[in-house]
Amino acid sequence: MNCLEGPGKTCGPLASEEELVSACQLEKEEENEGEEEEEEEDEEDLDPDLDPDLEEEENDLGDPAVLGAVHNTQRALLSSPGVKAPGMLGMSLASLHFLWQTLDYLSPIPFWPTFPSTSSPAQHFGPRLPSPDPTLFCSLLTSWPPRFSHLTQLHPRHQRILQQQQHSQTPREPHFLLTTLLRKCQWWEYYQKLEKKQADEELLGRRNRVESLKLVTPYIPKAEAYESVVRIEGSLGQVAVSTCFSPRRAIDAVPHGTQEQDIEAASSQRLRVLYRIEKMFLQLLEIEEGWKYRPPPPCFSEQQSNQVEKLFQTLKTQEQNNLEEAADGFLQVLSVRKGKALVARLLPFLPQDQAVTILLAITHHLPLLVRRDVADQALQMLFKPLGKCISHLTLHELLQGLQGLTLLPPGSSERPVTVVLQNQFGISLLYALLSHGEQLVSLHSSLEEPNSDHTAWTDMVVLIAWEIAQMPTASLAEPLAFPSNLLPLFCHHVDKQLVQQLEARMEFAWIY
Amino acid sequence: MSLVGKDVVVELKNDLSICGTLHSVDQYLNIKLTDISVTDPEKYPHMLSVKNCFIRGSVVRYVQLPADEVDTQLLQDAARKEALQQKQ
Repeated sequence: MNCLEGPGKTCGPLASEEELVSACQLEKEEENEGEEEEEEEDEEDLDPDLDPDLEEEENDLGDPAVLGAVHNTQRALLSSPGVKAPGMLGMSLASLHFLWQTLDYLSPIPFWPTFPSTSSPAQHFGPRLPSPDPTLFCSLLTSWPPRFSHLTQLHPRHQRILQQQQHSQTPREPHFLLTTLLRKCQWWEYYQKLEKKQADEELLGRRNRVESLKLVTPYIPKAEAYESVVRIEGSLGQVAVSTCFSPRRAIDAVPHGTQEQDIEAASSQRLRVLYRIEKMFLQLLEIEEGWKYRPPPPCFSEQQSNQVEKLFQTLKTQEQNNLEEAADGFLQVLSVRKGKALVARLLPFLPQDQAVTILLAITHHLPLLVRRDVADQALQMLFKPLGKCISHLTLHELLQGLQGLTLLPPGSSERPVTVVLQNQFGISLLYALLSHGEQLVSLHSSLEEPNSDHTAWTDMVVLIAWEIAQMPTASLAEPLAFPSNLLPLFCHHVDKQLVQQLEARMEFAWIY
Repeated sequence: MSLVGKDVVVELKNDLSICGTLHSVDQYLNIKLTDISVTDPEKYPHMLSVKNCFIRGSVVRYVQLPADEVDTQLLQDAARKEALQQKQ
């Protein structure tokens, strides 16, 4: 506020007030007696008093806007109904107030910043003053600094400026007063027009009268609708996006969305599985903590073996009475990357029989696991711990595990083993199993008579060899480890031609 | 496992991305980077002469870590332990 910047600066409207006061008082003295009778004359008489000054101003400024303001002021003064306060001159209080506020608005240096100076009046008719209070205005003119009643509602900036003005006693430049006064007139005329328009609209029932009297801050419409909360694909949470017009919105703690039933069920199912996995991880961490400063298993203390047992039971979903559901629960855990990591880290701690159970379950459901692992490709982490378990398998158990892979499922001509062969983990596990089987068989062949197991074993090997030979080389996955006794195994059981085919394929796959 | 001395990219809330060698981090996650460069097109030319910088933790949006340098298993375990401790 330039007008507040200390002595020497203009402080227009204040001075204009004083001028008006002095003018009023002069008029009052002159026409006090015949006031009411000569009402009209008073108003007209005022003009010549004003006019000379205004004309001077005109010459000085040469501003057509000011000229307009001058004329408008006169018109306003003449046309205003006016509320006559006692002791006041012919100039109505209301019109004086109008002038005052017009000055206020149109002053280039925002004096009383009730209106933002940057926007045009047409667009920016936000802030509105409270309705002029005649008694208030009277006190404004006759007493300075202004003392408002406690009921007066001023815009906070307005109030602050007023208070600052009280403290600063700056000399006023008379030249500036009238300019600002004229500008206020202009503004007030505009305001009058607008009020009239509002009244018309109210008559038409379009507008609420009460609304127009409120002090309303400018409305800046939103440029476009935007998403205040962004959910990135595959993430666990949400990110809030904010603009200066729409600050950060609270992120939904609970998802509200209209999702389909099955999607909802699937996501909640997944959440449940993840929650289970996390609980098991906490147990696993405890077990691992216990082993940090001890020799590795199987040197278990009772407490630790209890912990392991407990965890194993949790993994096997002991609550499920149905075996199928129990297996399903286990498979769900294995379908998630975290679950695979959990099982991989748990296996070294498990006693042999439990580890074998897990291995067989994995082998049995290998096609399903392979299909579910397409996205993660995380089954590889299970290979090493499982490899250690394989060496504990008996032939019978091995056959049990592999049988599921070689059986034709109903309604399909493709054996599950083909899916397995196309996956790196699958083919690696298969080769490892075959290798172990070969070891077992060659170890016991001299000792035992051929039994059903051996027959089954031979059939199994032939079938798998045939499947490998059938598969195009490109789709055969590269194994993580290639056991050395595999080719000899095939040589024992299949004809030469097939062996040659196998050799070509397996070597190819191994090289790449 | 520490990432001090490794290259990281810090993305700030004002969309500026700064690549640099991690020098130190403190309790407020204020970050000191050395030998910085501004990734993305050089539309922030005022950073050209800056070698080292101190970034206030509250203005950081993301820190992009090199995947090879991070042991995710260790990180997950540490996070789990911390969550457990907080719960207790």
